[in-house]
Order: sequence, then structure tokens, then C-alpha cells
Amino acid sequence: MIPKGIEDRYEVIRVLQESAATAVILVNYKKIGALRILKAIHKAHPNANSILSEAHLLQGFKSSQLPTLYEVDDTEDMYYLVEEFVEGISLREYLQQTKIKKEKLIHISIEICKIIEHLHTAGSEPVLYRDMKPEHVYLQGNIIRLIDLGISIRKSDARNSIPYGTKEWAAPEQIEGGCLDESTDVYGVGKVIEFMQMSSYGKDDFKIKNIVDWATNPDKNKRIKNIKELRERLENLQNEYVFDRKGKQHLEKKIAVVGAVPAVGTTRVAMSLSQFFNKRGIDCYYRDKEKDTVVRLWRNLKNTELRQGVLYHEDFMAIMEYGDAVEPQIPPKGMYVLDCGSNENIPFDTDLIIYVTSTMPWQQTEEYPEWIEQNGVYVINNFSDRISSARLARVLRKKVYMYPQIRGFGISKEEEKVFSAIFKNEKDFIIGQKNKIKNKKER
Amino acid sequence: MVKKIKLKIKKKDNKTICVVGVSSKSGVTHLSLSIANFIHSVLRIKVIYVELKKESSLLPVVGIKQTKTLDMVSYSYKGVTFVLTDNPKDVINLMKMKKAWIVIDMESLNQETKTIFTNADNKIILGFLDPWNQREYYKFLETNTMFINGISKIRFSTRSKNKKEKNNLRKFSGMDIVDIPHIENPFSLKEKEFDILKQIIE
Repeated sequence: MIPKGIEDRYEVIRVLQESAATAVILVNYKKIGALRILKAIHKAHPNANSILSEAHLLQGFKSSQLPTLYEVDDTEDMYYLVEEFVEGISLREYLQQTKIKKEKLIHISIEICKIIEHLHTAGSEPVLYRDMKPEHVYLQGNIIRLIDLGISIRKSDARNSIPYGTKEWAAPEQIEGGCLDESTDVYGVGKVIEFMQMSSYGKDDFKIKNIVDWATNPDKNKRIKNIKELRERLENLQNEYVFDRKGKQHLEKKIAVVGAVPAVGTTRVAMSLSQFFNKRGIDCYYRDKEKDTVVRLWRNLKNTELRQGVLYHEDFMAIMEYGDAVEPQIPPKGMYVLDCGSNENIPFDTDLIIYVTSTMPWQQTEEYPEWIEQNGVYVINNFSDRISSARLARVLRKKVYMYPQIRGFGISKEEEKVFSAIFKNEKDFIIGQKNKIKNKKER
Repeated sequence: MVKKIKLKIKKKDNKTICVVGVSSKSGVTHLSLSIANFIHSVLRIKVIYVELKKESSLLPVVGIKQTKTLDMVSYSYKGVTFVLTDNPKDVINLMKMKKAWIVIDMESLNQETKTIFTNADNKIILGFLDPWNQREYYKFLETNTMFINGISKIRFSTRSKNKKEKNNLRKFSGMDIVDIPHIENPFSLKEKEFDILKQIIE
């Protein structure tokens, strides 16, 4: 299905794709001897206008990461466009040959986000790409490029559009013909990151997995809303890895304490953990964003002091979660212990997870979160004995730390022993102990 | 032997704080707003602010996002729900029905608003104790004796540092006298203002 009358200008090198009414051909532009891609569609094809639409969209964008449009024309029975032949290797091929590092994965992901962000923001209205998959991402060394805007569409036209897309990669609302917006492309990019993660050294990295889960949530209301937000989250992660390599970030970690069920002692563990680090000279702040735990402490605990959004009490420091009618406070730098209650949706940038469970008959859980097997997740068994902890360790196939019985607000020696045992495995957290005396003086 | 049992009292999920001034321009709205914003933004408790006045002064400030509270038009601003009404019956209904803390900015204490004032958990009368203003305090007490007589827990709030004047008023009224420090902006509270606001509502 090669358009007639182009032979004088273009020499067909190879037909890349062909059907009864469409063709994608690699051609040589004779005049200057350059390779180009020619896409053609029969005028009788119900989707014949897609060529013009793609040409129109490509014309509107000036980005080195998108193919350049050279020509749009028609013959007696066909429309065709000629665009730049993007050299390099597709992401799918690249991942078949290479197992990538986490840093590379994040770099590629950020670059893809930037291209999509350009599509969403450069024109008078967002253009939805709708066809994100590893075959459409090309790598030219460190440069990432995106090809094929064949089914891209303006957001305002999305309502009346035919549901197009590739089944494994497209968002559910795209396949079902639902309402499309920028989050539809977030889903696609999330799927590509997920695909990269499978072929990377960061396969078990729960921080990347969290971002993927959030970006590919089938419910678009629970999904990352726009590509900028996704890019920023990836950039935060990127900065963190860079700092990690330089060894500067050890005092700015986030630890999530998550309970298997409510009333399993999550808050107590989180508070004691915060005190554990503060006693060792590492500034560590307890934080509970969901509940009013810190306010209750302020109201009921004696000898507390409130300063710049932080509640101080002996070795304990906690962040007050103020509403809009309080003058804004800058969160202090340091380590954060996040009390997540029994909410398994842990914050995406958590460095380490303490999972608190209990083997009491009324508190036993049937299902454990998927991430429990990963490195950096530690299990504490509260209100339990040695035998039940050993049993649980067998079930989970990882070490379970038995939590001691406690009284009063302060951290007990037995609790300190548990945390010491956990953090002796974490190099980054031990470094801070050397600064104990220095930090105490500064404070 | 009878064992003493300490009963734990379940905390109420609604509490009403009523603020009234000894005269107009006593700073009732300023204090009421500070209390309501403190309850929501610091204590993280659901709060309804009632402006019980013939002419609302808050509508231009808070009237951006309209909502509904017990079939009444209300407004949501910085997390606080604002009900602007001149009908005391609306307020009584709110106090009966709604499970939230209610802060009432009351224009005047009279026969119509008496029920609201007497049923409020915290009653605050606000005014200045400067020599040129204190007459208004005593005048208010004389005029409203029938409304406030027999109520033991009214809190008089002043902006005076004159201990003698405060003691005189304490003796005369038999009530608590609390100093209210200057709160710069009720919509941008500062931590140094928290303690007094906590004291007022507890």
C-alpha cells in the first residue's frame, strides 16, 4: 500500500507495517539521502483523518524529543505524511539486552514525563498521547525520544473519540471509552515505569513500586493527577539516590510505622522509635497526619513546649499538624517517624517500614501486604510471646522482633534493645550515632 | 467496705462557646474568630461559627464557598463552617442537633438571646477595663443581672493590666477575670497565642 507518485522523491527502503489501507514505510529522501518515515492511509479508511490530525499535532510542537514533521500531502487515493526517522533503540529492545540501574530507570522515567508534560502544556489545550508503551520510547544514548502520535488527541476532542489504545498499556477509562484527561497518560507512563522496574536492579524497591502503584491506580480519582506531579515525585527520588551516594542524607530519612490492624500498638512503637533516635542525638520527629495524636499529647501531657510547629517533651519531638488558620511553619530537617495507623498506603518516599502486628487471636490478620517481604521492612510482634513470634517468622519467612510490655510514656530499655537490633542492619541509621554528643550540644 | 470508684466522664462531642461584648466594638468577632480557628486549625475539631447579628460583617470575608448546615445556608472558610443568622431559634436548633463545637459571636444579650447564653458551655463577656471604658462593664452587669444571675461560670475577659480594677470587677461580679492578649490575625494564629485560647475554651 505505497502511495503512487512519490517515487521521484522517495525510495522505499523497507515496509515497517502494512495493512489493506495503511502503511508505515522507511524511505530514503533522495534529494539529500536522508532516512525518513512515511505514514500513509487510504482516503476511504474510516480513520483517514488521523494522518492529518497527527500532522497537525506534530506541527504544533517544537521539541527535540518528538519527531520532526517534513511533509503532509495526498495522492489520488491516499493521504500521507513524512516525518523524521528516529534512530536509536526502542526501550523494549534495550531492556531485553540490559538490566538497568535504579538511577537509569528514574532518569528515563523523568525524561518520558517531560515529553508528556510538553504535550500537555505546550499548546492552547492539552494533547493526550494515549499510546504510551516501551515500543514508542526511543533511546539515543542519554537522550529519550517519543514516537508515534497516531492516536494522540486534543483533550476537548477526547469526549467524542473512539476508544483506541493498546490493551496492556492503556488506562481502563481509555479502553472503556470513559472520560479522558491528563491522568490517562500518567497511567501509561506508570505502566512503562513498572515494565522498566521488572528489568532493573530496583525490582524490589518499594519506593519506585509505590509511585507505580499510585500512577497506575485503575480508579483515576485515586491516581496521581498530572504528569508534573509524577515527574516531581521521581525527581525527589532521584535526588535522594544522589544524596545517598554522597552519604549526606542519612539524617533525613523517613520511617513508616504501619499496623496490621487497629489498636496493635502502632502509635506507641512510633513514639518510642522517635525517642530512641533523639536519645542518640539524631533529630527525629514523630508525625501523625491522619489523627490528632500530637494535639492530644499537647493537651494532656505536662511539661510540653510548642515551638515552630514542633511539640517538645524530654526526648520526644512531634510535628503539630496545623490547619490553614495558623501561620505557616517550615518543617524542621531531620528524621521522621510516620505513624500510619493501620493504613497500608504508606507514603511514597519512605525509606524504611516497621510493620507492627500481633498474634493475639482477635488481632491476627489473614493477609499481609505484598511489600512485607522486601528489604527495609521490619516486623514487630506486639502483645505476644516468643513462640508465637517464632511461628509468625516462619510464616513470613523473615525475622520477627518481639516487642516488650511497656508502661508510661518514656521509652524503656527493653524497647531500646528491640530498636538497636533492628537498626544494626541499617548502615545509614548507625552513622548518626557518631554525632550524638555534637548534636546534643547544638540543640 | 465501700470501694471508691472513679467515674470517667465521656467527653462531649459538642460544646458551645458564647461570646458577647459589654458594648459594641469590644472585639467580640475578633476573639470569636480566633477561638473558632484555633479549635479547627490547632485542635483539629469540627467547628461551626455562628454570627448572630442583624447585619453580617463576615460575609465578604468568608462567603466564598457556600455549603448547607441543617437546611441553613452556611459558608466554609479555612475549615470552619460559618452560619450567619439573625434568628436565635436557628442557633438553638444548631446547639440541639449538631454534633460539633459551636462558637457564637453574639451581638447583644437580651430576652431573645438569653436561652442561648445560659445554655452555652463556656460563657465569655468581653470588654476593656481601661478607666474610660470600665463604666460599660458595670452598666452591662446592672442591665443584664436577670440573665447572668445564678450562673457561676461566666468568664469576663478584659484587655487591661490594671490588677486593682480587675480585683474590683471580680469582687463586684463574683466571676473569673481573664486577660486576653492581643491576637494579631485570627486567620493566621501564632503559637504564643495558643495557651490563652486553650485556657478560654477549657
